[in-house]
Amino acid sequence: MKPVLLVDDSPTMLSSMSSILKKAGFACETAGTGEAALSKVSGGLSPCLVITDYHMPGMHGVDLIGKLRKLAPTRFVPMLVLTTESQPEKRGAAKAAGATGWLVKPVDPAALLQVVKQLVPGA
Amino acid sequence: MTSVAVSVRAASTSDAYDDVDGPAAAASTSSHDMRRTVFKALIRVGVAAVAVMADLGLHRVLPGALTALAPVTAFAFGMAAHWLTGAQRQGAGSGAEPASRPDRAAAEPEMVGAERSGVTLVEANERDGRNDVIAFPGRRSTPEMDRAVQELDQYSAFTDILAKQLKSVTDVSEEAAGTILSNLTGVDEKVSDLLTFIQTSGSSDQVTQVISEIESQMQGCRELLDRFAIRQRDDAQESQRQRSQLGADTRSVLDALDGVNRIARQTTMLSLNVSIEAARAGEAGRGFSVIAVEIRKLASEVQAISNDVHSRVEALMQSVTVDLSLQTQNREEAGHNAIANIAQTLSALTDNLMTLVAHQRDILQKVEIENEAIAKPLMDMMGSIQFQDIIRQQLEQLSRMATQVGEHLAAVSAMLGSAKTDMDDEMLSDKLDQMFNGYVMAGQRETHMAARGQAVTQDTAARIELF
Repeated sequence: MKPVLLVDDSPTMLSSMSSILKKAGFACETAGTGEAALSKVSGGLSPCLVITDYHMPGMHGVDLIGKLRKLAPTRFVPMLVLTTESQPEKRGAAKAAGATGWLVKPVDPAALLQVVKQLVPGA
Repeated sequence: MTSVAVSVRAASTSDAYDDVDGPAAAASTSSHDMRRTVFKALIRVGVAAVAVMADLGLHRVLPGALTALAPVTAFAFGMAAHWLTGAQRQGAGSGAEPASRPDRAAAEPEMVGAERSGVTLVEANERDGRNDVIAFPGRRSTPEMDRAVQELDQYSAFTDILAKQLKSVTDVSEEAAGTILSNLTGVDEKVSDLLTFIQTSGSSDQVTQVISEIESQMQGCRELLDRFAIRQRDDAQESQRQRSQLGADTRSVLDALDGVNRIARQTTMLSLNVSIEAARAGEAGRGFSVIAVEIRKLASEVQAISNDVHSRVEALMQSVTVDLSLQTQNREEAGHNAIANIAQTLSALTDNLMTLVAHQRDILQKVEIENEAIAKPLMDMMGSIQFQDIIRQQLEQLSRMATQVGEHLAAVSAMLGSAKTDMDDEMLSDKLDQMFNGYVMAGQRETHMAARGQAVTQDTAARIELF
């Protein structure tokens, strides 16, 4: 199965999400910045799902989603924004950029897995 | 507790400001206006920064930082209030000075004189060779003002330390969260390994295979027992047949002996007839008479021997028949009992095996249930670590706030030193707006609004939304 690409500037979040998803049987790739995530996809990574933070140093999550939508491996891949933000206008911007969904931290692991299994066929 | 104390102190300072803003303000000078601006700025800085930082709920995490911030801020307020009081006195021309500050009493006439003559204190100091009054170029100064400026200048160091301490707290919490996650993952892996081992070693397929093998072996044992029983029966029948054959053979021998006995009797009769005929023949038959006697003796001996052999053969046959019958019966009973015992043992063994398998299944089921019970809290704990990221973002916001407060206080200090009424920095109200726009979570905005006495808009947006 293709890996889930996790993008967050917090090592804690990356570890937490990786642990939860790996426990559910998913492979995970992590990136600490939007730029690093783009580099991985450009380098051949083909994820089945992208989960990105909103606020990150450098490129923020919505920008990342917009750029990933222009790359072939991630053009049709579901992308979730996982953030502490909950403002409707920011959700709207994410939706306009091509995000599939919006999750507010802290997210319940069971709810996260339910969403992921809903978005990734055969998961 | 910290936030309450700081808020009360800030409020009382604000009241003090309101008190002096009445009659004294009517007689204020441009210097007094400047002081008012500075004092207002200090109050707003203190009230906004301390109250927001304290009410963000991070006093649980940062009691040391907030405790340290409170007295320093209060000291700054006190300095500003004292400095303002001095300005009022100066503005009202009272000239009354505390006995504890003779240097100021000595300096003020000079300052007033300098103001009247149109020269600054720097010029007056240079002219008189005095250095007991600290003077800033381009403005008139008092020791209280200079002291306030010195204190304000210390804020940059304080806020810098505060920002670094906040960063340190973030780093420590991040490291601790990583350790917790690592340990949780380790526990989860061990539990998974254990469960996998138990499932592999006790899987239903393996159990079925073992049971099948054991049942096959037991079936083999049963077939062996059946063959053994058949053989026992055949042996018994053969033994019976041999007994019958022996009886028939013995009967033939006895019949033969009966024939011999009959011949002996007939021979005896024949010899008697010969003796009678020999007696009738007289002397000529004397020889035949002797022969007849001898023949009768022989016939009698043959008959005696025949009877003896008959008796012995009968006794032998009786003995052999009884022994063989008893032996066969005992052998059959022993074989039957042995087969019954083995069958009973096999049955008990099967029952024990089934009990063992059922017990193993119960254990496996229990382990799986317990594993589920452990897995859920483990995963929840892995998710709970997200709190560190939330706290980190709040701490980063606090650090930015501390930096902003430091920059603003530096601007206030610069304004005091330059005798300007406008600061180089933005107004604090603008900074508060920027601060509000910089929040990254609804809770921060709600806290900010509540701290500023604004109506709080609760965040009702869904926490999970698929577009």
